[in-house]
Amino acid sequence: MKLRISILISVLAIVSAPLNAQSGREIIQQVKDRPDGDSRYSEMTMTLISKKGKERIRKINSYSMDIGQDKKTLMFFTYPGDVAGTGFLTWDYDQIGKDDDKWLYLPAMKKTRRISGSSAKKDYFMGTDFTYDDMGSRNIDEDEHKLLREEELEGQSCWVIESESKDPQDIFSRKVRWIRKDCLMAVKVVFYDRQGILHRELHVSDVKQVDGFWTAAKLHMTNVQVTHQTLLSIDNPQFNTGLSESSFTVVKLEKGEL
Amino acid sequence: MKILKINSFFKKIGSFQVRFRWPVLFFALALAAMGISGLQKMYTTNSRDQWFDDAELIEIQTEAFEDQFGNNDKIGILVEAEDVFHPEVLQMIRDLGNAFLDSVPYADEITSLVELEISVGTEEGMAVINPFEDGIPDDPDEMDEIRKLILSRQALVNKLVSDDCTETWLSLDLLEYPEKEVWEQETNLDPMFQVGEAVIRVLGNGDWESDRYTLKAAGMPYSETKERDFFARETAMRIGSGFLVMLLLLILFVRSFRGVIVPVFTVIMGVIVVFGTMGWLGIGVDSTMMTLPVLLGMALSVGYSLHLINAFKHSFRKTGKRKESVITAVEETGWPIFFTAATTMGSVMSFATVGILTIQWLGFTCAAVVLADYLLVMTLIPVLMSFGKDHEPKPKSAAADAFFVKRWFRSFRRWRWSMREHSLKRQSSFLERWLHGLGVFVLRRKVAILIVSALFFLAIAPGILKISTNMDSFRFIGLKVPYVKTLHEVVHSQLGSYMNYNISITYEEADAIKDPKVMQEFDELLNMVGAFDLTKKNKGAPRVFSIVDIIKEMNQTLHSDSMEYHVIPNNSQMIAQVLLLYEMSGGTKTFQWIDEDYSMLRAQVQMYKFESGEIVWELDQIREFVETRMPGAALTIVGTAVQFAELNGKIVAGELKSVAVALLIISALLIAVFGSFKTGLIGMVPNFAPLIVLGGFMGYLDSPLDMMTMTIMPMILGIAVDDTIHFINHIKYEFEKCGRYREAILTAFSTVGKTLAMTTTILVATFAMYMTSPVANLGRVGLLASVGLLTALVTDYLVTPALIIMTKPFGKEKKETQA
Repeated sequence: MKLRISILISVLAIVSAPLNAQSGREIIQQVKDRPDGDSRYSEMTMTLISKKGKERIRKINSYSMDIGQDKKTLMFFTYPGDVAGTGFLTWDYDQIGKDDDKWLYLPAMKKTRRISGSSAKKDYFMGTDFTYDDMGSRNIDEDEHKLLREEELEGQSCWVIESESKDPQDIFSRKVRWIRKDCLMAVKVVFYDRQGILHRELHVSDVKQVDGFWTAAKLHMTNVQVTHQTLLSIDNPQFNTGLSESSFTVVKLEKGEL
Repeated sequence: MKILKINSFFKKIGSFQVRFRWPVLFFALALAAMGISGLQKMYTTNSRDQWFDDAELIEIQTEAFEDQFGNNDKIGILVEAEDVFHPEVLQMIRDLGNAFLDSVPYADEITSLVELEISVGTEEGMAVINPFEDGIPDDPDEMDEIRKLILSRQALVNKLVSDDCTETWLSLDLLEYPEKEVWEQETNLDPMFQVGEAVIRVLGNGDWESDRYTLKAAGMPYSETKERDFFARETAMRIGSGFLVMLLLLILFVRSFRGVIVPVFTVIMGVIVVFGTMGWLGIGVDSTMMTLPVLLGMALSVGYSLHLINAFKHSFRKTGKRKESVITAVEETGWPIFFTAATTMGSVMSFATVGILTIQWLGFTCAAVVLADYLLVMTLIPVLMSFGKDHEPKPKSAAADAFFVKRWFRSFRRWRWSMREHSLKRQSSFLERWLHGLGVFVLRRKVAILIVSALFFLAIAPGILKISTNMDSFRFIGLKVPYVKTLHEVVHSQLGSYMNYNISITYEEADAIKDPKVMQEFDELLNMVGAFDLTKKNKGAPRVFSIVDIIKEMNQTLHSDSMEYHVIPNNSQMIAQVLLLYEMSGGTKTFQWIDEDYSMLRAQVQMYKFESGEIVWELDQIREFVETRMPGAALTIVGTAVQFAELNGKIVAGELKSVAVALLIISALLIAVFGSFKTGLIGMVPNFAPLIVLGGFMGYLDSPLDMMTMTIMPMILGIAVDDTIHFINHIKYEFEKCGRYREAILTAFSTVGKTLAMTTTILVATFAMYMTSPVANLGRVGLLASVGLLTALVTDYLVTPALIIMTKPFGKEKKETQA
């Protein structure tokens, strides 16, 4: 199980690169390096929409901070009521081969359980249409990047980058991203499955600057093969929140808030 | 209704055909061209989609279920090995899984030994482990650790892998297929067949051959594709052999180039026109059933042709005038052939009352084939026979008798004594003379014949009550068919199962299923289901799957893997949080078992065999439990087992209905054709005979009713009555001419009686081709059809004339001829 919650924010921040970037890889590197502050907070609403149009809503308050190259994240469920107070703490290490540390607090048990091991990247994140990989910081060298063209999308000048997975077992064979040149944020991503058939589509909207950092308020992922959708709404984003490392502990996890 | 009057109407039709023979021929050729182009649009249907009408409750519930839980189709590969944990076997499983994901359309997810994530409870929490994340170990100790871990999980042992490690499943989940309108834009191949073909391709690519393991595939897309391919070959074989037999018998009976070629041409045309029209109309063809209308069409078409050609030859021999003889043939045979076609169509149309779409399709297709054959025979044969020169009139030489016919009937020469009584002309053929002799015998021993017949039928009739139904696919098709044999082995393996059904419980309120009481009652229900006789059990573990397994397993994991916690938690928050944890751990199966509102629970029950009485009882137990223990819950049960239980009832009721409807239609037609209630009923008596014999035969010899054999009785009734019509019609025709029953009957014996023998021989020989099929139920159909047809002929020869001579249905004999 890999709870790379912190990286949610980094999805919003698929940004930043010099305008004169030429190769696909360089552009993707700059997107990955886009500044997103040392610490972050956001209130996230996940709306899962089934084929029949039935919706399931989950609300989460998420805190994260960078500690050197590592990242710590705390996440609390606030809705629905029967899971409110459920919390997750993750320490995400940059060091290759070092497993993340994760703790789970279930209020019904009133106990914290440590969770070890890892889930495959292809696993979907909390039942959404996003994979952990989509939410996380995928190593840019796991894919071959190619700048296909430059074109306008919804009035914004974009690079269109195709990233082909080097791993034939990956959930996608390639994805095509439309990256806005002004904020270096991917505003549209199309994923193709292992057989090269259209699998999912991500549309990012409400892109704006908050405290000088580019962020997007809405991410809409559709799995066209199963006709399932997830809408992520990011409210009240805050950057450089002044949180300290001591906030990301099991004690705070069990307290249910920072 | 005067036969002479009706015949004069057909005489006009015959004259019209001869006069406008070129336009008629051109029209027929245009029809053939249309049919040939339509054949290219013909497609095979998925036979299981053709059982129920969309408006039926079972279909509505199935659709609602699939709408909620997605595609129920899966591909399962049973891997058998001395040790499935051998690295070579595991590597094959991984590679095969990848090959499926890379090349099978609609592939979604692989579940196998090497694609597992196991949650394990520890002192301080839980670990999620993929035992083969770092590859397949060569070290035996390391492998043993993994083996122990996997075998320690209740959700896996004897479900994914047998506890003796000799069997394991590789299962491919499929995405939901798109609507027909969508896939039709790209291909005309049903998505299920796309999947099946891809799986067969992957399995057959030579990469999976090893002494260390065997692979056996199962799953609806695979088995349906195999069935389609097998029956494509089987259909060609049966139709090809039936065609050959028909050709040989035609040569034997007709012995003229044109007399053989013309019927063959009409037979081929009939098939082309009907199936081509189905192609144009977008009506799919059921590959398992299509031989029946084709063979029936062939046999009937030849029968109609023989009546026409024999009448033509008879007249042509006497007059030598070709066109006149054609018109005479149409005049004499037009009316009885029309009515025999109508009765056959009427009886096969009775399949429409059965309520099974496949059988309805069969009924309408058979009726269309009969209609097409009738129209083609009645237009093409007179037209094609009319070309050519006139001959000098000549009596038929005795030398023209068929050598084979002589040999066939040599054993019956004991009848010849009766012929001495009658002054048959020398030019009569041996068969005609023999039949005339038979007629004399029947008229002499009429009372004895009727008594013996009645006793015989009374003796065999109780067998009807012993007829059983069969819904066992293995018995239906038989284990001589290779893919069925493999499926049978899979089903009877430790991990295999036969059919399944799905129970779903729905509450009106959202979150209702998070109530521990609801979940615990559901658990109780599943315990009851697990103990049912038909539920598959492996070493005592019932193969019943639901969200309960996941909740119990997660609860256990959260409590340091203590078996004490392999239970449903007793508060709703804990249930909700356990489910959330499962999802957060990457669990993807939640919504295979519940709906998004948390108001619906589903369980899948796998069975090891099907027994119609037992399944009905078990399903009733489930209904009773839900009604009494789960108030406010709506229950639906869908799945192949439920469909089969429903079909079982439909087959029995459908058989009764279709036979009754066929009897009604035929009685009405007989009364109409003979213009007399009395004659109509006399005509019906010999037609009960094949029904009684068939019913008794099926009961005493344990030949059960199934989707195929249920069609036999109405169909045989429809065909058998043809002979009765020809026979009675001819007797009446002769009676109208001569005014004496005895003379009319004897003339009919030696004229139309011969044609009846020929047509029945062709029909029996054609259906007998089924008996050489490896498909068990085709063999049964062949045998039953042959028995029914022969019974009908024998009854027509023996009972019909006896009844006529005794009841004198056409009125009093003429006084002037009585002397």
